[in-house]
Amino acid sequence: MISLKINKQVVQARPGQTLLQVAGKQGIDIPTICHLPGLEARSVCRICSVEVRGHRHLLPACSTVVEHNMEVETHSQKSVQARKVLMEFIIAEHGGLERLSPQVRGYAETLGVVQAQFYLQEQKAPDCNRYGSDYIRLHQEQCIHCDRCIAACRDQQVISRARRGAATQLTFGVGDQVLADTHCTSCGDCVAVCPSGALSEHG
Amino acid sequence: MPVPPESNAYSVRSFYTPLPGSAQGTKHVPDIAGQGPSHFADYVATGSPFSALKKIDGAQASHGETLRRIFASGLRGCGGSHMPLADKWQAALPHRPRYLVVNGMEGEPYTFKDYLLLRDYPEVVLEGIAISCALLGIREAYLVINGAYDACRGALEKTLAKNGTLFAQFDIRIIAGPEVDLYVLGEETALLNYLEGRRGEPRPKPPYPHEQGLWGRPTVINNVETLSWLPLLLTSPGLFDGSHPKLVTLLGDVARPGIYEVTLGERLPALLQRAGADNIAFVEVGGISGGLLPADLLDIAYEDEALRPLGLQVGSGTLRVFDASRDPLDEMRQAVEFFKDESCGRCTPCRVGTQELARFVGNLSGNAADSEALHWLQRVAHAMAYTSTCGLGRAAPAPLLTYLRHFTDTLDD
Repeated sequence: MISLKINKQVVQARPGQTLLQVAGKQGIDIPTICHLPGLEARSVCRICSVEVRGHRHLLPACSTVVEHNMEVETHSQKSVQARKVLMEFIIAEHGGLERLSPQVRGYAETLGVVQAQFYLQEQKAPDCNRYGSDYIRLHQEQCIHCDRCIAACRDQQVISRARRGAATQLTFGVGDQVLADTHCTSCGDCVAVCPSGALSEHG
Repeated sequence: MPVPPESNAYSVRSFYTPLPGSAQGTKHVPDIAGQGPSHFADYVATGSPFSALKKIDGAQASHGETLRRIFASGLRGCGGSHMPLADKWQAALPHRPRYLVVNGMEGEPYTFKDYLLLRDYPEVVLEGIAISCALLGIREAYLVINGAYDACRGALEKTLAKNGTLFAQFDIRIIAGPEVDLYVLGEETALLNYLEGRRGEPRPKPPYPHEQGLWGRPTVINNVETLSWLPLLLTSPGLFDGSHPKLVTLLGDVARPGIYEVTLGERLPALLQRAGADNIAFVEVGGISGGLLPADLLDIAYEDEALRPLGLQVGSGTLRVFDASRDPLDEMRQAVEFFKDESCGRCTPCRVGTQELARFVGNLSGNAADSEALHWLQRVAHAMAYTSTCGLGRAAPAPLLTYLRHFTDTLDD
């Protein structure tokens, strides 16, 4: 067993457990967006960032594995502030809370963030939505880049990211392939995990 | 030895679909030369080649002693992190590292020190790599160089072939990065992903590369310059005695631009004077990820201890001098746009944060920035610095913050 301190409480953990798992067992609620139990932790939304003694930066609780004598603060001012800003980032990127899916709006409410201070003008080009298939539809402008679909599609590796910065988007296959032209089997795993409405089923 | 894919079309293509309005292309390599006295030139001219490596070869019993000497020297990572080599290697050794990756991507657009070493001192670079392999018990090493430096590859491979017996126990591969320059590939874990044929995005740390690196195996990653100092450190006593030499790319509005060997802690004005910088209005310290320093604050020591309080760092060791005809606002804006275009888009703080910075700069006119916007900017900068996956997102606010601090009266601390 590993012994560590979370919010000044000494807790026991098994080797290999993540901070998120151990905190959850203690009833400490660390907010997450991109994390989903059972999927590979991609640590992209950074909402679960916590303060770990000895680290200058905040560490993502979803992928940070417990170590002996770790001292963790899950709700320090630094973490809470950063989480709010990150949630505002997601709202700003989409031009408003009302443009986000109900599930993502729920995350925002949990964090107590209902609007962004500023909104970004650049909108995703809707033309990339043609990349879907007969079964799976893509709404690129809804995507919050939580990477859940990428993690869910890990065996097939059909889904990935392309471009950079503001133009970052989901893509399928190796090139700018249409989903129907890849070896996608339309299993729907990606749709099942998508919180943003970017991936949905036809019909 | 696993061979990385011949060309990683996937990751490069997916990054390089042209973005409107962004400058993308191969890194521009100017006609640049070493300037002033250099231990590298001395070592090649006077010392018998590979003398340090020969001493180490076949003397396995003394490896511990050699390692202690290197650790005691205080040699730091020269790629930009300035993490002591001792820390990195001591953390890696218990994991019995399998691969050595030598980072010669040098993605900073105005940094050419690794280029100079690869072009003019291929023997020293390779000797440093072989010494590291021997001391770390590694057989397989990948030297990854920026695609724009591909011309250096011939000399490096020739050196390996000519000294076959000396390098026989190591498998050193030289790999050129993508032809189109990609800043984020200079980040060590992004480079690992690239080598594995994946999209060149950083990985979250921990796990650190020495725990799970290339193809999941313990891997040591060092910068070209860092390892190139090893042969010199081991043959010239006193070189690292209480001082730390460093190669610096010094360019801009100076009479003699080039790569200079300096000692960390030198006074900055004297250092710049060596390149004939007569008319200094401001200096970009630490490359594009560094920050701007006005002439009136210039009289400091060139070392992290003195630079950090000013929001700056030695970083990759780049100094760009600007004369009175230049506008710091323009330079800062270019840096902010650069980061916005180079963010790989993986993590929220960097992808959106770099856009937020650009939006702020777009609304900036002269010295005026309203307090509400400024307050938000500070929150953005903190979130980026604390939660970004890699150094790109953490460093991105620096040009803007140093500009506001040193060139306007809007930010004090």
